[in-house]
Amino acid sequence: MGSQWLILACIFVPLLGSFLLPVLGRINTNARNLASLLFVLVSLVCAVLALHPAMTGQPLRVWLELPQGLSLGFLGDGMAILAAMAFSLTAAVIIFYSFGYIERFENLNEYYFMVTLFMGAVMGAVFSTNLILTYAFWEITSICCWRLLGFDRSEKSIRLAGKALLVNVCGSLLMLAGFISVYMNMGTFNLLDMQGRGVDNWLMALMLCGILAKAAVLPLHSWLPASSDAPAPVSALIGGAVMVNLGVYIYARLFLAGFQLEPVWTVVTPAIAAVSALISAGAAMRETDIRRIMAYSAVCQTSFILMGVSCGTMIGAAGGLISILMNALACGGLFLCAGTVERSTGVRDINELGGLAKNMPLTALSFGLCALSVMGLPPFGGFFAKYMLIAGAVQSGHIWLALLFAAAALMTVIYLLRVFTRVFFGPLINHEATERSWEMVVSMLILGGLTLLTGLFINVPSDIAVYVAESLGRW
Amino acid sequence: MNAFSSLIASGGGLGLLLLMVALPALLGLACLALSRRSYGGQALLFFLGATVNLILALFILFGEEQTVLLPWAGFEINLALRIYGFSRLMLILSAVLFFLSALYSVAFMRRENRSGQVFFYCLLALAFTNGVFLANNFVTLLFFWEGILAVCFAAQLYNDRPKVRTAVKTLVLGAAGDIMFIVGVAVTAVQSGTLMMDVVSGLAAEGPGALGFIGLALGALARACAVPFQSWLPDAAAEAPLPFVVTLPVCLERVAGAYLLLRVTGGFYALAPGSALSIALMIVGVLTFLAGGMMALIQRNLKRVLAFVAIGQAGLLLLGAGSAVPAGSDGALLSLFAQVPALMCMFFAAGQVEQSTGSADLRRLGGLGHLMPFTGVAFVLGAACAAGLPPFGSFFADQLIFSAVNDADILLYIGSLLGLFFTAAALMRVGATCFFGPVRLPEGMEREQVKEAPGAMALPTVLLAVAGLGMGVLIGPFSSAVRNVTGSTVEGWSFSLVLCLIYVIALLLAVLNHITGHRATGEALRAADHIHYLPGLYRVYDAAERHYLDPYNILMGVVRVYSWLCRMIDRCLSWIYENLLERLVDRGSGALHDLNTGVVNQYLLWTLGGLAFLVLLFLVLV
Amino acid sequence: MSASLASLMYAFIGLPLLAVAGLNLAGRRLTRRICRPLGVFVGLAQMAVAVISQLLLLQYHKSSVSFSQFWDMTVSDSAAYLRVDAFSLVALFCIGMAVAAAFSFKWFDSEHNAFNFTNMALLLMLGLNGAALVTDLFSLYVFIEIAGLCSYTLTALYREERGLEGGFKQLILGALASVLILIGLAFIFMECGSLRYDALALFFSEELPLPILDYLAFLFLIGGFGIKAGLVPFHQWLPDVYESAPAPVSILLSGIATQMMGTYALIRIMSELKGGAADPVADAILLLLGLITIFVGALAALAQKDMKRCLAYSSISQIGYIVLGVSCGNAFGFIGAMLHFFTLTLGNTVLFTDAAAVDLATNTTDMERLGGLQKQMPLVGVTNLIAFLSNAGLPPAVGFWSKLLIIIAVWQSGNGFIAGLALVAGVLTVACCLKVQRKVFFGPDVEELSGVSAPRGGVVVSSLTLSGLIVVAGLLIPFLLRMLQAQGLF
Repeated sequence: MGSQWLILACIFVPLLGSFLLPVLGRINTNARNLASLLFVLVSLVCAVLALHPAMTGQPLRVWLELPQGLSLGFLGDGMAILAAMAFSLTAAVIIFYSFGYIERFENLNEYYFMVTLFMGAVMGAVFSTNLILTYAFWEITSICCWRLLGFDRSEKSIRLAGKALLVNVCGSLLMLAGFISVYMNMGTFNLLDMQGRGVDNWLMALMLCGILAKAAVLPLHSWLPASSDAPAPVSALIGGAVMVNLGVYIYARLFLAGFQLEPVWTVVTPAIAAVSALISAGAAMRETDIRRIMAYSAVCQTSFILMGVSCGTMIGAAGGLISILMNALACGGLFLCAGTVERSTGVRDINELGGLAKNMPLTALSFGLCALSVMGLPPFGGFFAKYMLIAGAVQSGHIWLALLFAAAALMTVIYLLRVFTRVFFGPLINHEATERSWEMVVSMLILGGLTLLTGLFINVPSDIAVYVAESLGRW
Repeated sequence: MNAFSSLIASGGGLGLLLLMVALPALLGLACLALSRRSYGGQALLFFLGATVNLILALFILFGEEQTVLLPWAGFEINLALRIYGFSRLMLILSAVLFFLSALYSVAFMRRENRSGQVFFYCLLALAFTNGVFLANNFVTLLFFWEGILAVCFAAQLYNDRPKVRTAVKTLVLGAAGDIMFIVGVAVTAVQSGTLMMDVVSGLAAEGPGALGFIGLALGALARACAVPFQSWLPDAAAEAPLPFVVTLPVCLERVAGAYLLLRVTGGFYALAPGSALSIALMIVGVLTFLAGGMMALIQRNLKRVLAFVAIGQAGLLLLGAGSAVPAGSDGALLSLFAQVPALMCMFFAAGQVEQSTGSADLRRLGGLGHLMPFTGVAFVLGAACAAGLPPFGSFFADQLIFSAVNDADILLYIGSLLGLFFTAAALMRVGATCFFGPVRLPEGMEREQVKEAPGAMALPTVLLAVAGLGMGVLIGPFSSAVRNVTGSTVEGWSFSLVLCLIYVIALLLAVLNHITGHRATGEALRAADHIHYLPGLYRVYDAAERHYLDPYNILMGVVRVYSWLCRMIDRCLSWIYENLLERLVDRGSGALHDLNTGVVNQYLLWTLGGLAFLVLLFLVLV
Repeated sequence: MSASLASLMYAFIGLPLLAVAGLNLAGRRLTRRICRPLGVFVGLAQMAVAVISQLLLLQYHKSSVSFSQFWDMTVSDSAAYLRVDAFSLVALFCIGMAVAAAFSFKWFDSEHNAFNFTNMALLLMLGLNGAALVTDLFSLYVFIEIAGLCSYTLTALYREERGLEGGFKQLILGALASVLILIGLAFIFMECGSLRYDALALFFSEELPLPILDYLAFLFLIGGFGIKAGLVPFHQWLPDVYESAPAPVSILLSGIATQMMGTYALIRIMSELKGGAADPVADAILLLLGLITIFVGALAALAQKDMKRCLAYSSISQIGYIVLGVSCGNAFGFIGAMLHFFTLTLGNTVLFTDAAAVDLATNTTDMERLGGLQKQMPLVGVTNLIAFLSNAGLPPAVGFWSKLLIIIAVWQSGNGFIAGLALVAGVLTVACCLKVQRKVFFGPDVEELSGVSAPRGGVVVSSLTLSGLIVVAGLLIPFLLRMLQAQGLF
C-alpha cells in the first residue's frame, strides 16, 4: 500500500471531516473553527509529504478497478502537488482570516461545513485521474460555491449566487458532454490512458466551456464580479484564490498532461484569454467599488495563467503553473485586504476612502506587497511568473499575443496603483477606521509575506514546475 | 593591503560581486532600522556604505575578470554576475558620484526629516544599480532594472496628494518601459537562443529582431527619461527630497539607462548606421533634446529647469548612441562622464539655495552670488560644462556626437544645434537671475539669514564643477584611459574645425540672445520671453503648460476612453445573463403554464391530439 | 433451495392481503389505533423481503425465479406464473419504501379517514406488487387497473372540493388509457396468439419486419401507458392531481403509483417483448417523447407558484429521462432506466414528504407566502436540497450516476446530439431547485412565518432516512456496478 494513504488523507480528511463540523459546532464553536482549519492543514501537510515521491519519478497512485472503463483513481504527480499545496495553503490562511471576520454572521455551522467540503472537493478534483470523478468533484465545488456566495441570505446575494451556480452547472454539463463523447471515442474515462491521443475540435470546445465558466474567463465571467458582495473570505476563496485557479489547473491537467491538441488551439485559447484579460483590466480601471475591482483583477490574472498554460511552450506551461501559486497567494491577499477595508470603514467606494495607511498600516503594507506581486515587480514571485508567461507567448511564435499581454500587464499596474494610492495614501478621510481583530491582520500579513518569500526563494516552486514541464515530454 | 585584495580575488568573484549588491542593501536596512534620534548613526552608516562601495569599485577596476553563476528559476534564468571592461567603468563612475552625493546628503539631511528612509532608498538604489552593471543574465538585469523602478516609486510615497500622484506617474511610465523591456528580452532570448548577455552579440536588428531591439531600447529610454517616458522627472525633482533626486533619477538611473543603451546599440544588436531604427532613435533623441531645452527656457522653478536640462542631455546621449557610429557611441560615453557631474553640481547648488533661502522659485530669488560666492561659482562652472563651453569635457563629447549626427542627416544636425541653443539660453537665464544682478530674497528673509553652505556641502559641489573642467583640459589622457578600460579599438578622434566653429557660433548666439532679451525686458528672468511668445511657438508652449503634451496624460486619456468601452462590454454581457436569458425562460415557462387550464375536456383534447401526432409520426417513420 | 425462495415470494402477495383482511375483520377500536403503524410495518416488511430475495438471487447466481403455479389465465398449455427478477425486486423495494413513507406521519384528523386511507393504500400496494410480479401482458393490465381504481378513490378520499375534482380528472384519463391499452393488447393477441412475455419475445424476435398491426399495437400501448406515466402530450392531469390530493396520497402517487403504472410497464414491454432488439420506429417515438417530456416538464416547473405543482412538473421531466433510457435498448439503457426509476422514487418521496412537512407547519404550499424556512426547519431544507440535486443529476447523489448511464446509453445508440441536449436540460431542473430553495428555504425570512415550529416525528425521520439513502446509494454505485458486472448484466 505504501504511502498512498497520503493522497487519500489529503482528499477525504476535509471532505468527510466537514460533516463533523455542524455537530462539533453545537458543542463548542472554537473547536469547530479550529477543526476546519486543522482539516485543511492536514491536506496541506499530506501534499507536502507527497511531494518527494512525485519529484523522484514514482508518484503516489490510488486505483479502484471498475467495469466498462469507469475505474476511479487518484494520482499525485508534480502538477497536482503544486496546485494542491497552493490551494490548501491559501485556504488555510483564508479560514484563519474568517475566525476574525465571520463572527458577525449567523448560521456559521453551515459556513465552516461548506468551506471544508469545498476544499475537500477541490483536492479531489486536483488529484483525480478519472474524468467522471473530476466532474463529480467539480460539481460539488459549484454547489458549495452557491451556498457560500448566498451565505448572508440577503435577497440580492442569493439571486446572484443562483446565477453563478447556473453558469457553472451549464458550463460543467457541457464539459460532461465532452467527457462522454471522449468516452465514446476512446472507451475509457481514465485520463492516464488518454495521454497524447488526439481529440477533435468541437469536443475540445465543449470541454473548454466548462473550464471557461469555472475559471471566469470573459464570455462566462460575469458571475464573479456580480458576487463580490459576499463575505470577504468567501469571495477570496472562490473569486480570488482557489476555484478560479482550479479551472485553469484542470485545463493544464486535461490538455497538457492529457490530450494532444491541434496546434490551432495554441492560438485560439490564448486569444480568448487575451481578450478576457484586456476587457476585464479595462473594466477594473473604471470600477469604483473596491471589491469589484478585485474581482475584475482576479478575472484578468486568471486569463494570464490560462494564456501561459495554453500557449504551447514549455516555459509558458511552467510559468502558468508557478503563477497558479503566485496568483492564489496574491489575489487571495488582495481580496482579504479589500474585505478588511470594507469591514472597518463600512465604505466600498474608493472615492470616499483615503489615507488609510495612517491608522491601518499593516493592511496597507500587505495590500502593497500583494499588489506589487500581481503587478510583477521584483523581488516578488509575480515578477518571475510574468516573465515566464510573456517569454512563453513570445516563444510560441505569436508576438501579437505577447504584446496584448504586455498591454494587459500595464493596465494591471494602472488599476492596482489607482486603488492602492487612492485608498491608502493622500489625506485621511475615514478617521474611525482601525484594524479590528488580530486574526485578520495576521493572515493578511502572512499572504503578503508569502508573496515576498516565494519571490526570494523562487527556485522551490520553479524546480517543481520545470520538472513537471519536462516530464510532460510534449515539446 | 594586497593581502586583503588577494583574499577578495582568491575568494573568487562570488564574494566580491555579491558583496557589491548585498552590502549597500543591508546597510540601507540598518539605516532604516535606526530611529530618527540617532541621526549621527544613520549618517555614519550611509557614508560607510558609500566609501566601502567606492573601495570595492576600485578593486574591481584593477582586478581581473570574474563571473558568478547561481541557478535560480530554471529555463536558464539564473543569477549571473560578471565583471568586464564596460561594467567596470560604469561601476567606478557611479561609485565616485554616489560617494560625492553621500558627502553632500549627510550634511543636507541634518535639517530635514525622514533621513533614515532617504538613506535607505539611496543605498537600495545603489545596490540595484550595481546589480544592473554586474548582471550577465538578461533576467538578472531585468530583476535589478525593475528594482530601481520599485525604489523610485516607494521613495516618493508620502501622504499628500501631489507627491502620491507623482509617484504613480513614475511607476506607470516606468512600468510601461519595463514591460516593453520584458518583451524585448523575451524576443532577444528567442533570437539568440540564450539569456546569457556575454554570449549575445551582433544580432540582426530587422524582422522579429527589430522588436527585440525596440523593446530593449524602450527599456533603456524609460530609465534615461527620454521623450515618451520623461514627464515624471520634473515633478519628482520639484517634490521629492533633494538627495534622493540627485542620487537616483539624476545620477544612477541616467548612468544605468546610458549603459544599457550603449550595450544594446553597440553590443547586443548590430545596428547599421543609416538604418531605419538608427534614424528613428536619433529622431527621438533630437525631440528629447529640443523638448528639454525649450521647456527649460520657460520654467520658473530652479529645480524644474535643471530637470528639463537633464532630459535634454538624455536626448543628446540618445543622439550619440543612435548614430551607430563608433565616434557617436564614444561621444555618448564621454558626454555621460561630463554631463552627469555637471548636473549633480547644479542640483547641489540648487539644494543649497533652497535650504538657505527656503524657496527655489526664481521669481523670488536674485543676486545670491554676493551672499553665497562658492555656490555661485560652482553653479556657473556646472552650467558652463552642461552647456558645452569649449574648455569643458562636454565640448569635446558634443563635437563627436555632432559630427556623427552631421554624417547621418543634416536636419537632425540643425535640430540638435537648436537644442544646444535652447539649453545654453536656459542655463544662462537661470544662472543670471539666480546668482547675478540685484539681490532679491523671499519675503521675511534678511540678507544676514542667508549663509553660505557648510564645508561638507560646498566641497562636493566644487569638486563636481572642477571635474568637468579637468576632464576638458586633459581630454587626451582621459579618453585613452577610458578606451583601454573598455578595450575599444578606436585610436584618436579627428575634430573637424568647421563643426567646432558652427558649435561655438550657436553658443555665442545663445549668449547674444540672452543679453538682448535681458536689456529688452529689464530683468534676467524674462530674458527669454521673446522666444516664449513667438507666434507659432506660443501655442506649443501653451499646450505644454497645460500638460496636454505630457505622455502620461495622453496615456490616461486613452485609458479612460478604453475603460469606458470595456465597462460597456461587461455591462451588456451581464445584462444578457441577468435579464435576457431570465426573461426568455420565464416567457417560455409562462406559455407552458397557461396551456394547463384545468378543464378536463381540454386535457382529453390534448391527449387525442397527442395520439394523432404519434400516428402521424409513425406513418412518417415507417 | 428455490422452494424456500419461492415461498418467500408469496410474501409480496400475502402481506397486503393479510393486512387488509385483518384490518377489516378486527374490532373497531383496535383497528383505528393500529392502522398507521400497520401500514408502516407492511411497507418495511416488503422492503426487507425484497432485499433478502435480491441477496438470495445473487447467492445462487440466478437472474430470476418463477413461482406459483395456481395463477393460470391463458388457454395455452404452458402455465402462466409469477416471476421475480432484479428489476421487479427494485420496483417492489420502491413500492415498500413509498408505502412506509406515506404512513410515516399523522395526517388525517378523523379516525374514519385514516381507516379508509389505510385500506385503499394497501389495496393499491397489492395492485402494484402484482404488476411487478406477473409475466404476461393481460395480468399486467388487470393489476394496473386495480392500482388505478385505488388511486382514483385515494385522491378523492377527503371528499373536499379539490380532491374530488382531481379524482374525477384521474378517472377520466385513466379510463381512456385503459381503453387504449386494451386495444393494443387485443391487436397483439390477434397477431401472435399469446400474451405471455416469453411467447411474445419469441414471436417478435424472428418475425422482422413486423406486420403493420403490431406497429399499431405498439402505438396504442405507448399512448395508453404514456397517459398513465404522464409523458408530455398526455401529462396535463398529473400536476392537478398531485396538488389536490392529500399529502400522503400525493407521496404514494408521485413516489410509486404513476411510475409503476406507466414507466414500469413501458420498461417491461420494451425489454421483454423486444428482447433487447432495437426496433427503429418504437425507439424513435419513445426517444422523441422522452426528450419533449424532459424539456417541457422542466420549463413548466419554473413558472409554477405552488410548491407541489412545481415538484409535479419536475417529476414529469425526470420520467422523460427514464423513457429516454428505455428507448435506446442497450444494457446501459436498461440499467440506467432501472437506477433512475429507483432515484425518482427516492427523490419524489422525499420532496413530497418535505412539501407535507411545510404544509403541516404553515398549512400553505403557495411559494409566494413562504420564505426563509431554513431557520425554523433546517433538516427539511437540507433533505429538500439533497433530493432536488439528486433529481437534477448533480453528484454525489445517486441521480447523477443514473442520469449518466442513461446519457451514455443514448449516446451509444447513436444519437449523440439528443443525449447532449438531455444532459444540458439538467440545468433547468437545477434552476427549478434554486427557485424552490430560494422561495421556500434559503431566502430572507418572512416575518409572519417566524412563529412556525419545526415539524416533529415521522415526517422528519422518513425524509432524513431517505435522503441519507440517496447520498449513500450515490457513494455506493461504483460497488453496485461491480456487483452487476459479477452478475453478468453489465
